[in-house]
Amino acid sequence: MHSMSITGALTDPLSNSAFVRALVDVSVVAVVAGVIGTFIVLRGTGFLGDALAHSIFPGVVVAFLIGANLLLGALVAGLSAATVMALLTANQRVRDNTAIGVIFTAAFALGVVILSRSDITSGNLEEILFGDPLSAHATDVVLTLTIGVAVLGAVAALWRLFVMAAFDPNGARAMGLPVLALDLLLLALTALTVVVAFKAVGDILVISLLITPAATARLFADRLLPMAALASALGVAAGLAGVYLGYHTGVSAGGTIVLISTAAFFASWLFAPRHGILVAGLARRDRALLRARPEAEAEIILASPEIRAPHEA
Amino acid sequence: MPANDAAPGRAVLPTGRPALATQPARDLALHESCLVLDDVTVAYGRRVILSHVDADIPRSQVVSIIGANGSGKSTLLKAIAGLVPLAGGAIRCFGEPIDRMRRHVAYVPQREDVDWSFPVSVRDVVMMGRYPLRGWLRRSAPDDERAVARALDELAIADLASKQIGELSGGQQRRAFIARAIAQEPDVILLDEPMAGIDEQTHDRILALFGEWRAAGKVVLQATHTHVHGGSMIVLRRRGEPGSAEHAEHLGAEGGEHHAQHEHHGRAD
Repeated sequence: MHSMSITGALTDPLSNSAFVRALVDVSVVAVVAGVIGTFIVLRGTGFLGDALAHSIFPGVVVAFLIGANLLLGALVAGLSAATVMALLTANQRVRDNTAIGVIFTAAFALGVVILSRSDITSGNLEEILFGDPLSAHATDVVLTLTIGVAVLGAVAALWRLFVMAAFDPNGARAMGLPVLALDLLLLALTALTVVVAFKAVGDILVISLLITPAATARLFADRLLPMAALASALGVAAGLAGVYLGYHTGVSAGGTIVLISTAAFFASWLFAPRHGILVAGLARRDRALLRARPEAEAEIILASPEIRAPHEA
Repeated sequence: MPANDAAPGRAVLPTGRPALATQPARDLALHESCLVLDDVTVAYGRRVILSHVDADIPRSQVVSIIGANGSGKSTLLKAIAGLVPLAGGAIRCFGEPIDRMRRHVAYVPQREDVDWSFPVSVRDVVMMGRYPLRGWLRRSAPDDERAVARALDELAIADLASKQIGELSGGQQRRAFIARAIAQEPDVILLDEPMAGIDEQTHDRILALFGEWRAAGKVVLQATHTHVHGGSMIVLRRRGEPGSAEHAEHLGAEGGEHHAQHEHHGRAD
């Protein structure tokens, strides 16, 4: 490590095919998660994404035990959980969050019970829970690419409908837009994203890849497309950094990706040019001036004699 | 598409209900039902908010839905907009179930119902009005761009078109949503408290638009505290509570207008 140049640290691993697979896998996942995460953040349904992530756990465990591809197990479990949650909320007495809470804990418990009767190693368990992009097989990368392209294609085709349903669901419904169907579709797309993302950062941390870069991007972007693009870019940057750090130092790549994303979020929360807490606070006086609204403009043109200007003698 | 051609299968609909007593007979022959509320009941769970509301609204009407807070104004508007399910009765638009006529119905939500920090521009918002006209999956055509530009002009917010919606003042935001309604070329326009918390310029602009819409044969329904002079009214009150003196005065003074008064109970929102 000490003798290695920075360029060497960046280029040398590229001759390792497992490393290249990890880079591709993490990049694709980060792009898809950034786009879907944008809608999740704007609709405030982060809890739902988290629940979906935990719901794929039993599927992954079963796939592991029977020697099937983990992503396929996750796919089956994720889509089933999404369907059950959607069905449960059809009963008005069951609120969204209630259904979500019931299903994802049950699914996770199912995974734990199955696991307790198996001889899974702690290394395997760690991979499932916390991810290990460096262990991605070629099949994983192909599956990730296929699902990723499908998700992005669906979002691109229905982009403005998703935007409208997220911005003003009431107005959209009044115009006849099938908002419920779009919500269900977004749920399914979220499930697919979680499935491809869990390999990179693990079941427990998937939600971070979905919402943290999007939440960061929201602090910068005033338009949706730039927000989604920035979220994707931030995710890719954190993903690449995590994979490199994991490769060179042996720390968990998944955990590192999440921590880098989170650091970026807090830095932006403080310092983002217009919506950062510090900067916005400092600039408040000027901005109030610049954004004075025509109908809010006022000056005193007449006052009773008792009312004097502050510095009048 | 001209608004008048926009209703396939539109028919003059005999509702089978007696006309309201205050309506002069000479209008009946000309009465072309645009929006018909037939025994509409709305409930949240087991709580009945509106019960057995009837109204047969012809074209060219500006209808103010009036009533105390909690009397169900907003709920009635939402029921027409399809945002709350009906527990009973039916709503028809030009003789069709209103669910089939959604693209001819524009809805301007209450201020509180919108996320103003959402990353969309004013032009994006107005363009949304074109989606149902164009077909949900079609790309915007030059036609749509022109319609959006016209709507922005009409509300005097063309210079704000590329601003993020939250950067506008309350009045300008209201105008952006009304521009969206214009871009949609609807026959029925529903507005939830359109005059609440806006500047005088916006207020006057909206009033002028009401007049233009009425002249163009459209139906305007607004949930409001301020009745539009010369327009129609639907007065709501909670069952068992007296209607306010002010409303009674309106009804007495403008006997020639088309009125409906309905009793119901419960509390809205």
